[in-house]
Amino acid sequence: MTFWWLLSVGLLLVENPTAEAETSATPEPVTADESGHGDRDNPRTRFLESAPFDLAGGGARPGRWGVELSGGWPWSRLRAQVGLAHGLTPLLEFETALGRRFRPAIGLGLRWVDRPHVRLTGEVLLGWLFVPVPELKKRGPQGELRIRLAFPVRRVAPYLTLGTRHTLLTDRLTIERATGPEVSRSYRHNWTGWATVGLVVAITEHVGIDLGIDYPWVDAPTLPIPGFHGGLMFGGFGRRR
Amino acid sequence: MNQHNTFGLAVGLLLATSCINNDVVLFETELVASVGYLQAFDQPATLHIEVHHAEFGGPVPHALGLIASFEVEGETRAPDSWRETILVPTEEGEGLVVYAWLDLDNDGVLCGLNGAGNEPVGLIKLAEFPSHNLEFELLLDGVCLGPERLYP
Repeated sequence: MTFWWLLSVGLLLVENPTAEAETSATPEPVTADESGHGDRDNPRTRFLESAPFDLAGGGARPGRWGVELSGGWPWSRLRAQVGLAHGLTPLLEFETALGRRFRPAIGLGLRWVDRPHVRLTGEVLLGWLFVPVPELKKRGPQGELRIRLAFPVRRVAPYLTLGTRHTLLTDRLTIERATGPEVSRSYRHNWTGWATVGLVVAITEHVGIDLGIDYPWVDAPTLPIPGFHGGLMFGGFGRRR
Repeated sequence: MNQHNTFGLAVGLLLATSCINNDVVLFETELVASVGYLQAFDQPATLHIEVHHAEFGGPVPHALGLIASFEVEGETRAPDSWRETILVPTEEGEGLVVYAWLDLDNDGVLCGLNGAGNEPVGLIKLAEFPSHNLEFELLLDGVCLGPERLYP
């Protein structure tokens, strides 16, 4: 974590003045991205608006889409997002832990900080937790608040993801009395905290890879079990240049 | 019934049936016991009572799974009857067994080293269970034995 921060800040300090000087020295950047961040002829800024970096930092510009398919232990995930107006980014996720815990979810992201080398996005997701294993059976609606922080520099973007997941679990109690059965329901709150640190490498503007370490605190206060994942990111094909 | 009502009913049924996590079923039964001893105990004494499943557990069940325990005070002599309503988790085990021991020296320990050495014990399996009302006679005809020595 500290390593990523130091690396990012260091690269920012080294790279920014040059990049700005180059940008200001060019009166009309012929291939400048509509966002203003990405100059595709400049190797320092070419990937700033790439689909992999959109997925790493969250959020996307209108019409831009991205898909991430990641696998690892124990978590695997399919994630898709597309940018709309006003910075809103609807997203879909399907997540599983070794095929024993599932959560499909829909969500909405909003990029709060949108600087060339710093992306901060807030996301809210609503989904359904489904654990079919009899001993661990859990089913119920789940909401998640998540922030994504990424530092795109050249081809790489170290990132941090923090999330808090809240699941509503319903229990049923049936008391068979002499006068007849009495049925009552009760509700429990179940919390899962989430942290991921990782690195996204943009291979092209449309394709990248993601390597990360997950630190979920599943169904706290049970013991957190760290994991890892590797993912393929792609998107933005057919975008106008 | 229009389409909206049908859809709402389907969603309601789905939520009602698919999102239950812990589904606990308890069977209420009232136990009415008369207690017999091989001799008279004309002294204050506490009767310790335990209610067990006769068989308890999942794939490999074992005898005796504790459901409830309680005490009955005898002010001037050993209690000769008691009545208690308990809730039995029927999905966790089968059958019902009642065990009791009389604490003659009121030290809370069955036949403690420094206390009375001949505290009476008894056990009965209630074959009529499940029933909401069970009347039975519990004879304490043993001495210093735990429930696992008396059942099965």
